[in-house]
Amino acid sequence: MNKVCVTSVGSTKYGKLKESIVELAVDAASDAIKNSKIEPSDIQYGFISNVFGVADNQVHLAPVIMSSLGLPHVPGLTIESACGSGSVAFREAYANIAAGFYDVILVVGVEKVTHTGTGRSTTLFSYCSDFFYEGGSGASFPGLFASMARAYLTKYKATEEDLAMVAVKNHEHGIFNPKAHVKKKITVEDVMNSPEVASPLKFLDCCPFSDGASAVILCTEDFAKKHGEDYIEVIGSGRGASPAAVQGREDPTTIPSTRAAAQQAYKQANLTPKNIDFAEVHDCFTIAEMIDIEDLGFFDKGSAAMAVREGLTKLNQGEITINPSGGLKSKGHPIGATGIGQVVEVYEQLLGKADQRQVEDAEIGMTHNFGATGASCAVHIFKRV
Amino acid sequence: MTVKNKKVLAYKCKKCGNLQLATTIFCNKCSSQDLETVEVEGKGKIITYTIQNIAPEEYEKFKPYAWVVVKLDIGFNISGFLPGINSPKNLPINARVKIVDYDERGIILSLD
Repeated sequence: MNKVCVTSVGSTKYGKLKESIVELAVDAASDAIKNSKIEPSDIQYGFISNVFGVADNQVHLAPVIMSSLGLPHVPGLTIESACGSGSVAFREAYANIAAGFYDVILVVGVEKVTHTGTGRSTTLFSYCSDFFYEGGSGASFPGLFASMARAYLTKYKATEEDLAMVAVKNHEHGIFNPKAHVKKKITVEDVMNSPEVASPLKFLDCCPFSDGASAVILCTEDFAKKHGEDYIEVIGSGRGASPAAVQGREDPTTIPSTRAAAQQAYKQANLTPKNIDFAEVHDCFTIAEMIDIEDLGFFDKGSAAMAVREGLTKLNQGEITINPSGGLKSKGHPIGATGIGQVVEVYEQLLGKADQRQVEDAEIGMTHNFGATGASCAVHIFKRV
Repeated sequence: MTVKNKKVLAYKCKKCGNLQLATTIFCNKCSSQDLETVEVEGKGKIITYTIQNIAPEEYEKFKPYAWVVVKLDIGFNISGFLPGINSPKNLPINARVKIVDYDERGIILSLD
């Protein structure tokens, strides 16, 4: 297998944005190309991760975006895997370069939904569930994670305040991220007093609906050495799957796809959870981050609440920095872009470009991103070169 | 279709005996294709749930309700719609429920 590197990144701000879905994607992609010494003509393939193109009247996004970039003859492929689309697309690009099919691939994640309003967005997102059993029985997306939260709080005697502390921590990190959607310090009381969305989750336990796009350029190590001084190496890549519906899982307090993907990535990188300096994990809801940091092996099952309470996941203060970008919670969650945005953060961290949110001595970083309630998942481990 | 006359339509694996919803085509334990249709009792206990304060658009008119995951006595889980629940105080984990209907809201349950 070829060694695979990330040699450049670009991103729009995340938030309620006025640009069209194609404009956002092109902004992020051109940002990534201009930030590197790569010529547009070096790009051999484009992967586009997106879920709700139809909400902005555009499907068949890949050729439209490649054409808008002035690369109409470069083939592209749009990949949808709900909120995990970005990491799954990244994995496909990684595999294609590792296998020797291509030397340089552009991956762009993009989403544009906020113009549809909260009601419509809630309905659209419920289509990411196993709709026959979940969305079609009245469960919203927050509702599904709320059911996981109810099970977790019951099994491990954690509290709603513990969940709130995840939100408080990620908002603290997000304040230092110039591209974050919600840059606002909040308290546990703010979370507890915010309106209930789906019991036991409240408004401030939930990430926002966001628009935005992020882009990365992957290439072989040879190409990276010849064309750019700033690159990081992908040293582990894993994919996992879970029963699509929550009802299909033996235990709703763990996500099997995370465990499988992480195991593969650790094995390939020949590392253990203790070797990871920081991780961008999928915190679409506060409960998700608690479950993630256990499933990824950073903390024992049932001990995430203690870890959060003791500040062990805060920037440069504990055992491992979790979500230095602010995570989905504060940075925002344009679902097709999220998995790529995590790679953007890891790239900036490993190259020491993260300013006030810089993880000290960051050498090994991880991204963890899943689709829906974890039906699909990809985990990647990166190394400073 | 998953429910008929308040019973759950299930597949029983002739090879390993596993029971699963009849909407999954091969045995989800041993991958056998040799399954027979059986009807199982729609009774069990709640393993987790949520109360939807903000519901998907089409479900706003049905509030208050809980979306629940139920472990059937027969062994596997289903999920469904439990009307009339407005507070966790009214719905302890492990509460007994039974299937009473099946309509546009999915599988309808009531406290047993």
